[in-house]
Amino acid sequence: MQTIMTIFKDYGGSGYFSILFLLALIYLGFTEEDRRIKTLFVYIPAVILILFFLPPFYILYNRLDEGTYYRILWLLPMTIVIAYAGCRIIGRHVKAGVLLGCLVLIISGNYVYNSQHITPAENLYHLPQETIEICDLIRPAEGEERVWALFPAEQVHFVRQYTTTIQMPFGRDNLVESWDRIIHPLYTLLQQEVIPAEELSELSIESECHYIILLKSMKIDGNLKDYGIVQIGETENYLVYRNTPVEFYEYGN
Amino acid sequence: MGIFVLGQILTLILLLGIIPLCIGMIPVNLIENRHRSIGVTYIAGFISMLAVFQIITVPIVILAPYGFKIIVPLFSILTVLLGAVGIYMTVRSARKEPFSRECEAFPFSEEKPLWLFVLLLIGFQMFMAFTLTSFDGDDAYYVVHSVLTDETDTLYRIRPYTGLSTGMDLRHSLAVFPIWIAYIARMSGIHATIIAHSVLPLILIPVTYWIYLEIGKKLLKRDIHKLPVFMIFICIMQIFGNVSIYTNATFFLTRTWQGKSMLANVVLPAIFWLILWIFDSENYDKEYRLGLWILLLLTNFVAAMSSTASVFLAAMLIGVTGIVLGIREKNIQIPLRLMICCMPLVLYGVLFLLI
Repeated sequence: MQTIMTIFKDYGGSGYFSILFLLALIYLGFTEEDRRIKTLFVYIPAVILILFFLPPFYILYNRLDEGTYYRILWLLPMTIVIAYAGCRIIGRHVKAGVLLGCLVLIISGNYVYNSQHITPAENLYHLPQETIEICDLIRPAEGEERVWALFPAEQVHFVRQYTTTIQMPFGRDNLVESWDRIIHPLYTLLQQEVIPAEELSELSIESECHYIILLKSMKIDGNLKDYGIVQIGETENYLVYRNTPVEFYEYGN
Repeated sequence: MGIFVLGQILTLILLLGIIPLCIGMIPVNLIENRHRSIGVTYIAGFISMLAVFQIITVPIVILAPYGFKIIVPLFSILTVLLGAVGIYMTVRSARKEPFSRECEAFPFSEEKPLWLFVLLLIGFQMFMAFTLTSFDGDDAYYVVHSVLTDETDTLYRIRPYTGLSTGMDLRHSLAVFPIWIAYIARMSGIHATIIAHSVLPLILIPVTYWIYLEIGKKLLKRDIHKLPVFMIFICIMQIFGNVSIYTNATFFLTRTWQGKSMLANVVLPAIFWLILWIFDSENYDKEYRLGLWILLLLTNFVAAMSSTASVFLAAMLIGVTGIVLGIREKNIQIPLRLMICCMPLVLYGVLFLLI
């Protein structure tokens, strides 16, 4: 039960929208005259809410899809119920009601575009421009075989959204701590404060990486050139290397 | 270059505008005249088009690892045929019975400033969706699957994170929304990531609001002048609904192109809308509502297309609705009919357990 309460609280954030929803449900429960509207937007959400808080239901759902129990709350028509109750409450005072209603909703909510994950789009792909610059530098020409490239962790989400002709020794599957993951040694290596050039060379040859992309701020112990890792380009924050000991595949192999 | 881009834009208008509109004429011809409108026709067509995609794609995903090259011509031919059937049905019904004047008028004339504010709010969200980028880790899976499908013709046989070959990804392979994005990309010649991030929000945001509009029309039928108020409240709750990363509003404006958002913001509101319409009248048993029942059935295919967990969520919503409505109306037929509409969900659920 404690876990379910935590999921409910986490979903509702500040909780004001949840309170508004519950108040709207109660209001419509007492005032709605249309039997079917009352059934659809009062009784059915109430039943779903009760089911949500039942521990056996939680256990059953988790067997089907673990970690997404909060999605049961998507079945509650929160916005419809609050908006409809709001329209009923304001009566004839439409303009004042709109102003007051919007004010209450704005204060209760959180502006979606304030999210730290939202930034101005740099291109139509909505991917970092630097990712595109790097990929354009190393991607195979049409008709050539795909290549392998080692990217720093913060880039792995984006690379294959631009082109799947670039393959990577590790991807997002190494990054999410809560997942049952097998950590790639190259991922561990790139997390180190100082990266030994020899180890980087050995592991990247083992993983057949044709290219290595490193942050300019990364510290390297040793000279990469000594291991055949040659810089072929750079962007604002990254250095792009060709790992010459790894030869390109011939098409069809 | 200019002509090429123009061609791409025209193809998008055809695939995402004209074809759904024509297909929508089929179910809309099977409901009463007064319910028909361009908006309803488009939503009905959009849902029907996605449902047809799900129906033909899942067997191909299971049986043909390189099946995308089968899906593209097959789905194209089917949608054109269905569009033609829709036009034929509309022309035939217009000849028999000229467009009814009973058709529900769109209440634009009342409260014009409020309606302008609604349009401004929706336009604002579309503008932000186009000009801002929202980082979401799941894109490394879903969007990459669309790109992979478009670039390699394979269906869920390559690990999106790395590029290594793998067996069929069962958990996700029954929900083929990323493959549909790949289809739009292949047909238009536009990169699948651009389709997902820049094009789809411009379609899905208005579709969602149109569904809310139809719900509002029914709820406020005696107070129709308040419809723009209802829409303003909905818009504000979506824009300020980011109270946590889990809410449907957060998914709506930050992950619009993902199947999960489709479920929360198109499929589930559509289920409420259709049930509200079906049981709107005292004579729901006698009136001509076959089109609405068919649409509810098709919406469940779209639910299955959105994400694997949707099968359970949509079934739960319809199941609870059927039982509660059946008890309230003292009519056993209601849960039975709704159960028939859940058959696609049962089918995909069983398939998921069997494979």
